[in-house]
Amino acid sequence: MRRLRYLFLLLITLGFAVAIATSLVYNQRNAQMTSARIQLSAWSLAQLEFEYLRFVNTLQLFQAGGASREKLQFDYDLLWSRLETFLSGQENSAIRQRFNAGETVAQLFAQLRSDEALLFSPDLQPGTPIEQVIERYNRYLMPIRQVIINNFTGPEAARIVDEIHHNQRLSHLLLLGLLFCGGGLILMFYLEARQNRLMGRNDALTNLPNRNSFQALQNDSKVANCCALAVIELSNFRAVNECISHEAGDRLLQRIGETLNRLKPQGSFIARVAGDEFVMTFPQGFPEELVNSVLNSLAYALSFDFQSDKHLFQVGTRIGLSFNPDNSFSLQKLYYFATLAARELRAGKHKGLEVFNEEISNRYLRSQNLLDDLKRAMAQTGSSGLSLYYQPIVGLVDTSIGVEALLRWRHPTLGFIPPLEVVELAENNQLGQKLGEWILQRLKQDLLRLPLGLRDILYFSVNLSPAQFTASLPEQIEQWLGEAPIRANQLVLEMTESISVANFNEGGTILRKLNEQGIAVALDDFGTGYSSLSYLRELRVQRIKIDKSFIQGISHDQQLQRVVRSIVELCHTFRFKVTCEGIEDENDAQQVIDLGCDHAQGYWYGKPMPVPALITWHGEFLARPMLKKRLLVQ
Amino acid sequence: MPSLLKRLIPLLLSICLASPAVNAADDWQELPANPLILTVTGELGCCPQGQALFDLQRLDALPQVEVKTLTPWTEQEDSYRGVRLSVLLDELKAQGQRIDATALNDYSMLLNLPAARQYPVILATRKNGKVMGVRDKGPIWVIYPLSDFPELRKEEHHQAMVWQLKSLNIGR
Repeated sequence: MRRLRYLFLLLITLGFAVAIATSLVYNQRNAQMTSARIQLSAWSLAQLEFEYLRFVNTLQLFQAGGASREKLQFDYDLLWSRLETFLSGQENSAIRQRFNAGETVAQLFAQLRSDEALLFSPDLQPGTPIEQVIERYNRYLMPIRQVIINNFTGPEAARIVDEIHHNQRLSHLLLLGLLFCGGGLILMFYLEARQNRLMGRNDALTNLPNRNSFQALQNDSKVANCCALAVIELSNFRAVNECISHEAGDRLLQRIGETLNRLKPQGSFIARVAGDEFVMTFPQGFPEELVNSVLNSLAYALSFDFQSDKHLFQVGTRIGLSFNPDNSFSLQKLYYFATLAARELRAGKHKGLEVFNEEISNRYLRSQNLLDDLKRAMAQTGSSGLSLYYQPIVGLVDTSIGVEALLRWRHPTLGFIPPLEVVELAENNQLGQKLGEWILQRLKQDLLRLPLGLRDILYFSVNLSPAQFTASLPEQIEQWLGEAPIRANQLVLEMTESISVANFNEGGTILRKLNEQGIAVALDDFGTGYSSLSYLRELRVQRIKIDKSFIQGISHDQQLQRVVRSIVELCHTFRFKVTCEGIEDENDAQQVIDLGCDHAQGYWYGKPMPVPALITWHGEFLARPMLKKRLLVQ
Repeated sequence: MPSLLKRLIPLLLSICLASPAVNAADDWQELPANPLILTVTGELGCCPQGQALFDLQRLDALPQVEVKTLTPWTEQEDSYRGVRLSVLLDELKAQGQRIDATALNDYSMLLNLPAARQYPVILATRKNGKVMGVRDKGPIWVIYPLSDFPELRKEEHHQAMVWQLKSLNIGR
């Protein structure tokens, strides 16, 4: 298609060039012929004939005694001058060469010169018979006449006139050709412009309108007046892109695009507004129940297993919906609301449909305010309400004691904000990396507040956020260790399964580099995600933390006990140390010891606490009878 | 440099020879002794009767300028000599915006006055040093310096190169 376009363009350009060049040649030729034949030759031939006839007339008058000698000689001189002018110079050269004109006039001139002696002789008086002389000049009447006739009529002149007409017709044709070429160029220009506009307005991958055209819509009252707008997000797109390939991601998007196009109700508009985000509008008057049913079936149709190579991904969608009662919101506003609804789903890790309501709006506003406060809190160095608490992790088969650093935020007006909310707030607003840095920085400061004896025997477990898990992490940690007063083997980094799954290939390298520094890595919340066994085998972690949902009530639930025992055994097969979270009473504690866990963490051992409390706790813990008993056993 | 000199010499000559011409002013309205070759009519400051008459001698008494040029009607570059048109008009104290030049055969042409004043346009009475007869486009040929000034090579000026000139009429 493109080659054809270039060929067309080339042909048109060639046509242009040829038409212009030929037109120029023909015009030049026409101008030459016209000017030579008509303008100058007409004048000079007319003058020639006029002077000639006057001279012949004067000769006749002279013979009749009606003209003086002076008059005769004067006309003789004038004719002489005229003939000479005709026979020399550039102006008359063209006409001289045609129809023997030059020869005829030269003969006349020779005749005139040969009669000079006679006509200027003193004996010649008016009345003298000069019949023979008159006769000699009368002979030129016809030849001169003939030259004029031939020049203006005659076959040669006709040929020239015909040629001029022919050339003119050709010129007209060429001009028409030029017009056609120009039209062709304009057409091509128009088509290109339309193509460009189309490309600017449409997404090349799915052929759906893109964000630009969605934004342009906001000025189009017909579509902008919609009764509802849905934002459709894919829940697993990033994983497909990163774990399989971008080609697979593209295929997935194309499939989604086709599905959307197929299920789109009449009069609604769909666009792909971001990587994995689509927008669908519903026209004015579309019943509310129908909107819900369309979107529910869409959510169903867009939940499928996407198979590529050996990988299988469960694709799901989050659909945020916003109704437009009374047509009171602009498209922009509706889009914003629907995005918030989708965001609720994302934050809750849910799929399906969420309709925007005031509660969502309030939550969002609250989170925006919180976000501002969080930014401020992170920027402050002193008591900002943001701090680290430390929860003990107790060794069950050895005497090791560690602490997990946990984020605490006491908001000046809202009070205690759950750590999970703080972390998600930061993650969802591109602050994850910064929050991670803040935690490490605060940990370093807190370490300096610990007594030396305590600091040297504890290990410190720090949670990584997804945003921190990048290629630069090992270097960052190495630098931190250089400044912090602890050894590498006193640091444990905790990450959730989702972090490593989302970044599996690169993740292996990051973990290897951390291990090389002597830093242990723990897999947090084990059992809540979907780690496969092969994945576990390849993962370079040293510890597994079993989620507290498996531990709570374990002392009187035999099934849970069997599950945890299996997990522990499995982990030990892979040479992972196992930490159980959520130990709340002595029975639980005894149970996990019996099940073979290596470390335990929970309120029964110690709640998360600030540094001074940790120092006190440690002293008390060492004095605990249970511990003493165990130490004795060992 | 030589071309500048060539143009300067006639100018210097015209300044030197200007005074004798003034003495002849009284005579211009009288019929000259030799054959009349040029009649200038119109509003002339010099001549209350509105007519100045010239024979060759009277024209020769005015400052002379030489122009070498080729024309569309001649085969080679010839040397023409005569009074510069603008000098003649100044001498006659001619008041007018247009000049009508008429030839012996009654061919007449309106001259472009600004061009005629700007360039050394002459009323040539001699070609290659010889007085021109009627046969040689004499007695007077309006010569434009076509060779020295290519911008004059236009039909408009070609047509103004009236030969066998017999009269000039100066009008408003």
